Amino acid sequence: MAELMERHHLVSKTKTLLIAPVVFLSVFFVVPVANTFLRYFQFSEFIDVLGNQSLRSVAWFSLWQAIISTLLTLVIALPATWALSRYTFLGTRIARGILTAPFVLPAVVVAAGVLAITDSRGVATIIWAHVVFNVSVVLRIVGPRWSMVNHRLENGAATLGARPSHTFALVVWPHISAAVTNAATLVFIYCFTSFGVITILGGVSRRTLESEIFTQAVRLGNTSTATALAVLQAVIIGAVFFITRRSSRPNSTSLHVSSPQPLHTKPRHRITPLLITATAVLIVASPLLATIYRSVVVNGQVSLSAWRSFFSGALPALSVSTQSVIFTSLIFATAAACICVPLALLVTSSSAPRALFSLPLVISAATLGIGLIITFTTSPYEWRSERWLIPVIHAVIALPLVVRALEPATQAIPRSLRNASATLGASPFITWVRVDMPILKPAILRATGLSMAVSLGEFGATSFLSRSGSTTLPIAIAQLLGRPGVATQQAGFVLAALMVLVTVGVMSRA
Amino acid sequence: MKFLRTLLATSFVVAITACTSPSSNSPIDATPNEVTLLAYDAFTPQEGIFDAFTAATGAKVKVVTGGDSGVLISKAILTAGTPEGDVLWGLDNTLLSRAQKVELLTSYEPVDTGDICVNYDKQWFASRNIAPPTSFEDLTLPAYKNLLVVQDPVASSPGLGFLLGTIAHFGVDKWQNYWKSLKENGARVSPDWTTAYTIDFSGSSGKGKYPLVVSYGSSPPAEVLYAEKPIDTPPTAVIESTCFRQTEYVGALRGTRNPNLAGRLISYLLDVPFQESMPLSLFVFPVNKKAALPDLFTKFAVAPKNSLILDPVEIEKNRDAWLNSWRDIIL
Amino acid sequence: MLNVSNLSVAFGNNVIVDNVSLVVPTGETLAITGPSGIGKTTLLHAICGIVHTTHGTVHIDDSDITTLPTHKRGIGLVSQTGDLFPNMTVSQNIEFGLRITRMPKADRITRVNELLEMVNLVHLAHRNVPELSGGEARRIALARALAPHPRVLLLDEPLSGLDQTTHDELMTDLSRVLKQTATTALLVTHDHSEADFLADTTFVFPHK
Repeated sequence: MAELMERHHLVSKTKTLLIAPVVFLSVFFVVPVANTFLRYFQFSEFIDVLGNQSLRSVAWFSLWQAIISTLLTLVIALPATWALSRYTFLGTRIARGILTAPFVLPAVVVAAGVLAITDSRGVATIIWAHVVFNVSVVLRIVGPRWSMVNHRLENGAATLGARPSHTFALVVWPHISAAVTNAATLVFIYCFTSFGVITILGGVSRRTLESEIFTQAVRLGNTSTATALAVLQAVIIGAVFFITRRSSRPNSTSLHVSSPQPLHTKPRHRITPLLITATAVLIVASPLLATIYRSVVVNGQVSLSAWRSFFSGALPALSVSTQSVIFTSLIFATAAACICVPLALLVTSSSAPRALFSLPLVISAATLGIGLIITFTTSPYEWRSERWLIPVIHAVIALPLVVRALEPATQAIPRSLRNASATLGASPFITWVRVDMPILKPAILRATGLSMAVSLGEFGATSFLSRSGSTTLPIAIAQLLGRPGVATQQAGFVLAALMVLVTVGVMSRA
Repeated sequence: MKFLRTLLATSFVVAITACTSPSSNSPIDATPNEVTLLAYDAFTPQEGIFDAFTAATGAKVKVVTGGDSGVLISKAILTAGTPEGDVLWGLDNTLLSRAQKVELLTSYEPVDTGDICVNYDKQWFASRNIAPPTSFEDLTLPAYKNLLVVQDPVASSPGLGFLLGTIAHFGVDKWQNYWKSLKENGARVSPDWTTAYTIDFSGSSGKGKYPLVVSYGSSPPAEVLYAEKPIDTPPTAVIESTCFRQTEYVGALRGTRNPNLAGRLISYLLDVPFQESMPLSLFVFPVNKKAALPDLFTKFAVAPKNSLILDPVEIEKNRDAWLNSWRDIIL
Repeated sequence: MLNVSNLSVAFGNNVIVDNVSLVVPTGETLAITGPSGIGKTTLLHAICGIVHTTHGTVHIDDSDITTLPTHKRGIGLVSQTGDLFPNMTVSQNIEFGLRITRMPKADRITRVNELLEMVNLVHLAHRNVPELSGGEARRIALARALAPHPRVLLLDEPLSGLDQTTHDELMTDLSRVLKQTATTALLVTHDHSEADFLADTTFVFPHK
């Protein structure tokens, strides 16, 4: 009893850890966004936007397609997460790789894959593409938490007479509910701010706020309308965060981690996780397979010529070689991870309010993009054309996700371990380095993979930044698919298929 | 701690927005050994084409890209006066007036031309013994129902070109009816050129369902150049009466720090060697009359003498209204 | 010598430790007894600085350590849950407090072996923590806490939850080690016979 109260009044952790992340976010996010709002926001325009029937229906569409996409993602992802975090069977690794790979892929690739299968556009395909992208988010955020549920507690509940559904509701759910809410909120936001998928699969009549912001700002030159829409979008997202804030605060009871249980010997038990995983994999993998199919089938016949020319190094119609594209993407991804992961560690290790570091999720990528080019224009801040700004922005965008991914692991470290370390003479910093970090190593590796993934597939905010000669994979794919000529398009699909294969391979190991 | 955070954020905002941009009035170049050319992502000049320029001036040409033409111009307009580069490539006749409003360029000249026309899949029509359409009006005939794919003019440059072509052909009062008929005849609207051409169009790699697509007059030679197996004639052809002329401009950006080099680069871009390299690397027609066209182009690229055109001032005045009308009709 | 004077700890309106004073002469062991959950652990935590005190002082010999952060107090803790670092081996755990002092590697190894011998677990030097039994873990926790020569050692229910044989063995060994090292120790237990066996004096935790 006394111990319980004590937990809430412990000596505070050091706040100096927060300085670097706060400065980073302020310079590369808060300032550019604030600049955009200051320069282009007009309250009268905002009122006009709210009164505009067509724009209101765009907002409504954004909302309801996001809600349905989120629900469907949960329905497909949660059972698969259960199967993959509790059981190990033949193919678990590949399944995990397939389910988490799409997160990295640019919208062009997945959308083209979906179209190759159904050839119809509309809400159904949009939602399918959303599910394909976001199953990964659920798996990565809820998975670690689910596998931490102690078997003994569940067995204990069973011996006390609880049915499996009871055990789930009373033992498992409280432990994973925060992670599920967390994941659901993120998925909702990604679907709500969906841009590439909507553009390609939505046809002309389906628009989200995000695509409309881009259209207004870039195509029509109405920056103040775009900013007004951005504010509306931010308000809605902020509201979503606010509503879910209580239920996404994790339960800080730390339970012992159990490794995934080998499959039960009861045949009945073996089938279910397998079937569930297979279904999820089928839904997610089909567009990916379609991409690979298109890279080897030309005019109805199988042909490996595109792959052969790929390995020879030249990319038709582009002035860069395959090697340089892949190299550039990898360099950016590594740089982004080197920036993002340490910052995320600092954030999760201090008791920071998550709100500040969730900001990049709330603000539209187009707004950030505009902010970047109008802010860093004069020396000594003239960074807008600097190559290093790209991985920096990737890090900004990945930060909220990586923080969320690290949190369960950081919170699972029992406070008493830190106490023990302190009594042995270790200052808070040394404790962090010598006790926390080794325990967090697997989580850090996953976080690194995650931030590299975000960087590899990022196409929104950084598309506003200019590049000289540093073409990344998504850009190369978009460029290749964007030109006439069978050879160029095949090359585009080869690159896309390559991305699919490599990311599935990498994610299976992560 | 909260105070510290607000303080940090505010001080940065103040510091940066307080900085005014230094404008360059001196005729001396700030970076005499490098000149920056801003272009869109699809700008892929022939390899080594700038070597002669570097030899003559001692300056390297740095090509900086970022997005498609719409993104490029928007960014340039947002940063007018403090440009990211010295020379801008890719402003076209549909966006010219928007740029002139903010005095984006200190001077500009046409650098290439191209046409936006309906392309068709020769094989598709031949195998069914149907004559391909030859005019805008044909596209609304029942014989060609559900065969055409166009692009969203809001997002796509060829899409806009096609819309403007119909406005030029039918007039500002009658084009709306035309589009209603197009819609009734099953015209499919794709969000961008890539989806329309590489997925929906039957004549390219996607083997889609639509044998008619809005694309460029230079798409057929591109099909030959980038064919999977070598071919002699393109699998596609162009409906000439639907062509809308697109002119691209090149100009020096206001506020450039290398005005001299900018001028020299523009001259170079308008000169014969570069102009002659353009058809097969950028798929556009040169403006320099002395530039010779490659065989592929003379044989297969289409640039009708009487392509449809619209006054850029008219375009700027009415574009938003036209786009909104279009959206109302189609959506 | 450990001198705790008028120490109070309150969480909000709940007073957990109310004006507690006690003295542990150097080299002696004081046992604190009382039923579970009344705040004995909190008292220990207050003494080593893990928890804020609302009133009172803590002195070791003549220096006032009340406001010092935990890692500067030189007070060791053997907690109820052992809290061995899961990613390290037994030796690495014991060595932890020595690495902070920048003792040369060779000396550290000597000291680690010394302690392993003291708790009769030399053969477990390279064992991984998850493989230890309950009793073994307790001994290693003790060895780890003693390694950096703490001025005061706090022990929170060091013998709870063990089977009778392990309990008795550990109790004997604990008594021996405390005497051997002449540690100034403060021991919390709910078991009076343990208190009698291990400690020189017993302090009954005041409860309301």
